[in-house]
Amino acid sequence: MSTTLERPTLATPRKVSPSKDGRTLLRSQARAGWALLAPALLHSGVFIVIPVIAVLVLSLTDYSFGDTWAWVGFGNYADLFRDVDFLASLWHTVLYAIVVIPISMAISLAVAIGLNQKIRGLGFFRTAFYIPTVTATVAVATIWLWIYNPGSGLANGFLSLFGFAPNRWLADPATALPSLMVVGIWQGLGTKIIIYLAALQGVSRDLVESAELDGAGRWQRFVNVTWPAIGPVQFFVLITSIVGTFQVFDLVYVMTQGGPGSETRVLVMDIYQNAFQDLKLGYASAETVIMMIVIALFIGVGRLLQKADAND
Amino acid sequence: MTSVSLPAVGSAKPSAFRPGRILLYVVLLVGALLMITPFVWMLLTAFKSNLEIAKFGWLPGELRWRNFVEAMQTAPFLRYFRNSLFIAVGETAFTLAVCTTAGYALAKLPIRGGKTLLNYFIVLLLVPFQIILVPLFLIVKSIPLFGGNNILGQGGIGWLNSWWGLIIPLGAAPLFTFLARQFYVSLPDQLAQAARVDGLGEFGIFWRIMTPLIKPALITIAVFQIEAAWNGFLWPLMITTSDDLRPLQLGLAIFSQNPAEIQWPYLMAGTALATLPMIVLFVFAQKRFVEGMANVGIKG
Amino acid sequence: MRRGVGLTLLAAALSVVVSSCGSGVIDKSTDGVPPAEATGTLRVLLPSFPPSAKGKAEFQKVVDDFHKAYPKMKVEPDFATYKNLNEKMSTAIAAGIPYDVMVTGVGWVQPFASKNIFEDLGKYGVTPDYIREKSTPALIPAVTYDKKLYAYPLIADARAVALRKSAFREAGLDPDKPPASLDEIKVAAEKLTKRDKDGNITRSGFDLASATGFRQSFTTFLASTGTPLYVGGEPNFDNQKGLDTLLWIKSMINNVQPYGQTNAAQQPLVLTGEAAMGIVNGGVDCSAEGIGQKNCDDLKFFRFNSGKEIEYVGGDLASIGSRSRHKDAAWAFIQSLTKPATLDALAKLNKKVPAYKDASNSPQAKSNPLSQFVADGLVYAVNENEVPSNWLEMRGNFDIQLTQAVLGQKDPAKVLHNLAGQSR
Repeated sequence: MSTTLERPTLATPRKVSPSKDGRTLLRSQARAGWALLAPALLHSGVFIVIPVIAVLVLSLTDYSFGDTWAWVGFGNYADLFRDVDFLASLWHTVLYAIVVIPISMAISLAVAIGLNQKIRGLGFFRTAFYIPTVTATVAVATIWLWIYNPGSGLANGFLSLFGFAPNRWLADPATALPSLMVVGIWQGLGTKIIIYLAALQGVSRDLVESAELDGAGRWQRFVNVTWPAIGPVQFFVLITSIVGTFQVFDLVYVMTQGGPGSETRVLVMDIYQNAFQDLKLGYASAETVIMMIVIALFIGVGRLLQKADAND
Repeated sequence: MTSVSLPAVGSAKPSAFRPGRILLYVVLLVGALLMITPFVWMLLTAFKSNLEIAKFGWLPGELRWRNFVEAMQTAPFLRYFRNSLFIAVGETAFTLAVCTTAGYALAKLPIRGGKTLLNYFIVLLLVPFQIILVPLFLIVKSIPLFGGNNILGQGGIGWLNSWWGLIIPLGAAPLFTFLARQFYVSLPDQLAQAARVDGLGEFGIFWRIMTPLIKPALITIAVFQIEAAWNGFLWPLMITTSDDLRPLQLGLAIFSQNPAEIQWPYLMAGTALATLPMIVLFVFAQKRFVEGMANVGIKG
Repeated sequence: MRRGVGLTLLAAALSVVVSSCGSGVIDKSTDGVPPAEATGTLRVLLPSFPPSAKGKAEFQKVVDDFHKAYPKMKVEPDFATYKNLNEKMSTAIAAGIPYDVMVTGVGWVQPFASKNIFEDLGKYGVTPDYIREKSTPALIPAVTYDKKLYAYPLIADARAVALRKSAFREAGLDPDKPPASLDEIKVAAEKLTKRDKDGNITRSGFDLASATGFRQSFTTFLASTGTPLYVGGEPNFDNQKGLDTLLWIKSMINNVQPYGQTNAAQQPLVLTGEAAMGIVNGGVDCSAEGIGQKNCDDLKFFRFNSGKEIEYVGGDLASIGSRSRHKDAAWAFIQSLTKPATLDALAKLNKKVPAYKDASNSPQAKSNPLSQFVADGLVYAVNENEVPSNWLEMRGNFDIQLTQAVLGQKDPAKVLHNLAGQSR
């Protein structure tokens, strides 16, 4: 059944096959590839790309839902860098991302590893960790508002158990953003745990066992077999975490509306307010473009970090 | 004895009382408690009276089951449940169809510029929904030949206030194409080789060989998409005007309609009832994880 | 092949943009057509009717009344919440399918009128005298822009102040002589504040009801000194009275009330006893389902008076879309909306007070002592007054900068000056 012809492997599509059969195969594969990709390309083209182009165009105008509007070129962008609220939002969002991403990734990986052991009550644990994700964000935010209530919330009750003084949490400019970070981490764990779990369970048993037979210890097995094997998924979790934390909105909107003052103002909230409160859609579009550039930069850094690790 | 139904990492010793084990259980238990405490509080609040909520007690005085009943009677919630179900199932089916094909193509097929296309999908992740709301609304309104539109998409309302508008635009998110691709990438190429030699076409390889192997990923995508569709608020709010199409979250918003007079017991009761199906769904889904994994182990 | 895909997308984008600009016309205009024959769909956006079964039943009554004059027109309600009003209105405007009737609140009329989104109601006979005669004169500035009227009041959202009689007696104060001026309130509040051994406030002396921002309370306190926030669209707060008021607020926060204090139900704190005095809404539920009769009896209501006795009054205001194709029908609908029976129902659904002339005798006013009190006080009503056209943006600026001033992050005088400069 096997032939003596060299068949090019799929992992290196750019290598030209030495034989004509190989080329035809490549072409039919490529055709199939495009056919399979087409629906996604069409959908994203119509429902995402076109709106994005509209946003780009809007960012060069001063459109504000009125009868008249004008082109302002890069005027919006210039104004943004003088806008105190925007700069504050940018800073807070970056801070938020820098804290929440590594912590939530680390915790979820650890929990996923823990859940991947042979333990009883697995179903219960997995469900318990996933409940925050499955509850609507508005409900989550409302409940945490109660937890953080300085007067009679659970958080201060908890602190008082250990003899600590009550904290003002969301009402204190210094602790407001960290309080939100806790909620952000808390809510994002479930999704990541599930994805890591699915990835860990896909790690080939043979590889692990052969490493064990070779005398590798628990930690070595993890670093040399498991970690590289979950590489692609790590990448996914990193990217989605970056995007998710930069786009945090519902949580902040319900819990603090950006307060006290503007201590917890974040980018998407600023964009949303500019677009729908102040009705300055052109301005908000420019802000969105800047936000997307910043996220892209972060993702670029993330990819570099990833390349240092695994293959992709 | 290394019996494992999961291809677990590491520990093969079955003894359940090693100190490491106990620590693991304790840590997981504490973690689980932290995760579900807010939900428990929500449930408890659903049983309280208005005054009890204002006074901030921890436990309700009596279990007011009637809160649940009255909440559900305030508006046609059964219809809202049905609508949400419809949207969730429709969107998930659509997403699975579109994203698995695209993810597989990106992962395994020699497309020129495959890397660029992957980056394309990743870049699309950057777009926050709130800002494309207005252009997207316009596009959905201008879908040709629907809702009274002519071929140029003029004159009618397109997909506004319709199931299409609720399901299609937000489905097949680039996120899931990306996720599917990452899972497909982990599959060995030799399987495709062998199948090709056996005479299977590309689509057959995708459908019969590769996709069944990433069942955990399919379940993951399905769970995420269902949850997103079930809890969606802003888009259904924008796009529906009639009560027939209204999904659950919009129904729950009735209780917080008047910001000065939010009906907390009903809101919490309604939210608890809305979250329940998701939890049940997840309890079943995560069992399938295990079953799916057994297959991978065999073929491994 | 990719280039082909790209070009197709570009063409699609252009066609969408071209096709969506300006069109979206579904109905033929019915203005000038005799009502009995007018056909089409009247699109109505109102947050005033909750989409619950009760709300929908009440709304249906309005539709039935409207159908007496316009039997062939369909009414398509779009229920929105107050929080999402802007999104709904702006997407509808951008998509070229604006609403015919829009109900908004105080502070919305001027921004939308300045963008030509609302119709001048003068041609339907709505003049300041008309409103004085039939409705609540207090809301006239709120519906005025550039000397024209763009909305008609439906219900009034009035706020009063309450004190707990038991707390007053306990502190040696006379509950029948409530403090009225800002100074008096401060003195009393400081006596009424209870603290624990660590110095944390356990019961606030006065609840400023400003957990979400000081914009409304600042407006109220300022108005009690006889100074409206805006006059004719121009800022009126960058002066000594404004500064004094802001400094007063600053001296109250974290002195008689911790910053950001709310209770779980987001209800006024004086109703549950967490504060000895405080700002309340426009109605209170004295039944067992609400705060209970005992609590109700312990409350006494009064108004601010630092030179002028005032009561903050917001409200729901109905407007006609300027791009509507059924303007006459829209006005007929608003008239159905403003029949006393409907306004009574609306007031009951929203726990506010109907904005017709004889509000003091309305069923809602009679249903509880607080509603009666605020209804009687509509003559003292104040609010932000006639705000500038960028008010929606200013709301956010006020919330942020006033908080920063109160918390000591910015200098109060500079904040007021800055806000005045930002108002356009």
